[in-house]
Amino acid sequence: MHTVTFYDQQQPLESALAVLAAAGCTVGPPVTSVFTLLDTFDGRLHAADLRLVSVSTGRVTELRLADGRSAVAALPAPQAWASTSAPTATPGAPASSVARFAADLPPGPFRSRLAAATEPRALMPVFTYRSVVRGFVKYDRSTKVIVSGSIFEQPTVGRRVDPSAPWLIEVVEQAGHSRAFDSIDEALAGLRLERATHDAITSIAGLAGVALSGVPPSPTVAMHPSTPAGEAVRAVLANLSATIETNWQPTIDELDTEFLHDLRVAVRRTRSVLTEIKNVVADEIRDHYRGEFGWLGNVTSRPRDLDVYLLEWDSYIAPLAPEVRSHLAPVVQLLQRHRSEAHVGLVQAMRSERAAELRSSWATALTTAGFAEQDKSRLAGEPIGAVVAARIRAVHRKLIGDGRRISAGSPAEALHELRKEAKRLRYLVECFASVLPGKQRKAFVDELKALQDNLGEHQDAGVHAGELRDVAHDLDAVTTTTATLVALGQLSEQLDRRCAETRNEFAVRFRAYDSKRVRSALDELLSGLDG
Amino acid sequence: MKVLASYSIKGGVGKTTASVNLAYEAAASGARVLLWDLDPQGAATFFLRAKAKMKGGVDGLIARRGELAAHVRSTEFTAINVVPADFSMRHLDVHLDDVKHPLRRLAQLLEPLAEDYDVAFLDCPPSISLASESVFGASDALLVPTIPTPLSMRALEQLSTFLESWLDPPLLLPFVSMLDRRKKLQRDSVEELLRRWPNALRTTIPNSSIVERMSTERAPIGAFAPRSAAGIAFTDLWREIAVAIWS
Repeated sequence: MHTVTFYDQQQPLESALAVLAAAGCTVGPPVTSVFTLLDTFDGRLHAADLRLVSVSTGRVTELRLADGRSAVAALPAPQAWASTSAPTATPGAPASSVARFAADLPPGPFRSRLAAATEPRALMPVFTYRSVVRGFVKYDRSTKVIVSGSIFEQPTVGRRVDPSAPWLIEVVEQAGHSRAFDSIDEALAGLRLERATHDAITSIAGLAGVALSGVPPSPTVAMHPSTPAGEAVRAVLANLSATIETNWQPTIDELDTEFLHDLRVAVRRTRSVLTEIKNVVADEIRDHYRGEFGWLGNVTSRPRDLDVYLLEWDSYIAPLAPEVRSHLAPVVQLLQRHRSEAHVGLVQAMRSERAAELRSSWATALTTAGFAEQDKSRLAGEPIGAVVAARIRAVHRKLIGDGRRISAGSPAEALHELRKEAKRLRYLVECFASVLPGKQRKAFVDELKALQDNLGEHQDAGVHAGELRDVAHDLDAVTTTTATLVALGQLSEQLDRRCAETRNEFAVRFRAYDSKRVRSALDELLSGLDG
Repeated sequence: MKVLASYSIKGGVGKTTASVNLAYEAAASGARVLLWDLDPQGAATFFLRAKAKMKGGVDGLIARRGELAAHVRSTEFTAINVVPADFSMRHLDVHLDDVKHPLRRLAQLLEPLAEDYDVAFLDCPPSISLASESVFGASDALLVPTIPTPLSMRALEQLSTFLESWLDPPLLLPFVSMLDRRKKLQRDSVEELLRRWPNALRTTIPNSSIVERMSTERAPIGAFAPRSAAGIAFTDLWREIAVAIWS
């Protein structure tokens, strides 16, 4: 199935309408419609080549999901989605009042398809435009539609009528009728109109200068291995600071769980860069902000742990019998309450004077002349490639040394510490990704990730088993049924088992990482960068 | 893509009515729908105003190099496409017998379209044959319209017994079709069916003159009488199926 869009700055619409009439198309009445493109904050639908559009015509609102290849799926919008529209034409400005989730839709293929591409992120308006729309169709002899399309007159984004596109025509091929589509495509092309091989909304976004790719968090910035380390570190930290700021208010507003995740990761990456890249940032600045970002990271820990718990809940309880699962409703309610309480604590910390001072003074520090010192004993003037390569080797060496010391009898804390070291190594590789060769970087990160997955699962199962014990204390002794307590016991066993399994698996995973293969991958990654 | 076959060993129970109306309801609820008419009578093809012609006939389609995409046609509903049937479809069994792995052939033909559609309805002829087994091999669920009468229930029982020998059988989702609530025997049979088949869908489709109008309107009920009892019943039936399959 093909879709093409035509538009023109000069010709009157009548000439195109005449072409459609001559081709045997029937044009419908004009209907004023409001279109709102929805996507996640990080543009997951755009990345998956999907368009979710809410179309309002008076009282009726429809949600349409299109991929440009197959038929457009459409369903009536639930009541809560009916008022969805972008508050501004500016992407990257999330508004809590219009956040929606795929899970809000009725069960069915539309929801499943949307959820697979977006969960757990919320859907938010990217941009809204208004237009007078006339549908057109061409029928065959049995009154079956063989070509369809729409004419958009004076699309208005925000309050502005875009003079570069007083009208657009979108033509959609119907299965089995490519000839009919080709003939209309050809006839309209004969008018020497601008022709685009995508849908009208993409053309309108392009003409209005609206970017559709969202704001995916990127830990790295473009730099060359020879860039002075002071300059490179400052650029990386400024980029992370921008990510923290972007996710700050949506985290407070709880638009979705991933804002907190992205904020937390940016905070920890910041602290990690300050810790690991020694002798580049001025000591006074480095020491102060390591402490402050450590504090900020810590206040995000509990709400994030509970977010992960709730996101993983279905997979935790999946092995339990359905009747056992049904008795766990009070437990999940209590976890949700704990999560809400943790969020209140987080918001208090984020709105505190300490947080305000941290954000404003950090923004200032990043621009001060003395941020990175350049005297001979320090590395700020050294090429970042060599500085990063040395640090990656050092952190990797420590990770291997500490991992080798872990035995069957080592406490869980030893694995937790190792997990933190693996994260620090990963952050270094990711934050300075642009000075590392892409293919080799991916190969090395894949090896590291396999180890991290094991350590992460072990840690999550342990933390969540502990949380479950707290929940057991908090359950109302009077109203809690025996069935719930039995179900809680089974879930607890389940988590303990998962914890033990990942603990047993650790030795195998670590051996795979502490191998010649990974050493070679590391050498290839840093080849040409070592000082 | 989920494959749902409207199937019954018995004829005249409302298989095509179910296929066409459920295809409409699925599309109205946001699914991209393919309806594959496997019945040489071509009633689903007729209801959806497609031309009852398969280029190259069913033998060309079932043969090793056949492609289903070449036979897909649009309908007047943008989210519903149809693979029409013509009279050559009566030889489906014979041609399946000529290919390797006949029980997998329909699934193989559907597979390349999996990204283009959310749901494919197979409108099957009444019988139990090699073609039926190929339908079972391709389907995620069998929607079995069942008139609440002893003969129809017996056909359901036969189907269930037959599927017991399958390693990975499709989900069996019977539902009551052409119900006449004035008849006590039918009301009792509905209760019996729901007791005997806990998986059975709870929505019942009434015996209604609106259903007969489909052939003069050449359209699903939802397109010309959505608020009729039968129209509402098909909307509810699809919701129930969506929960059973996608929840």
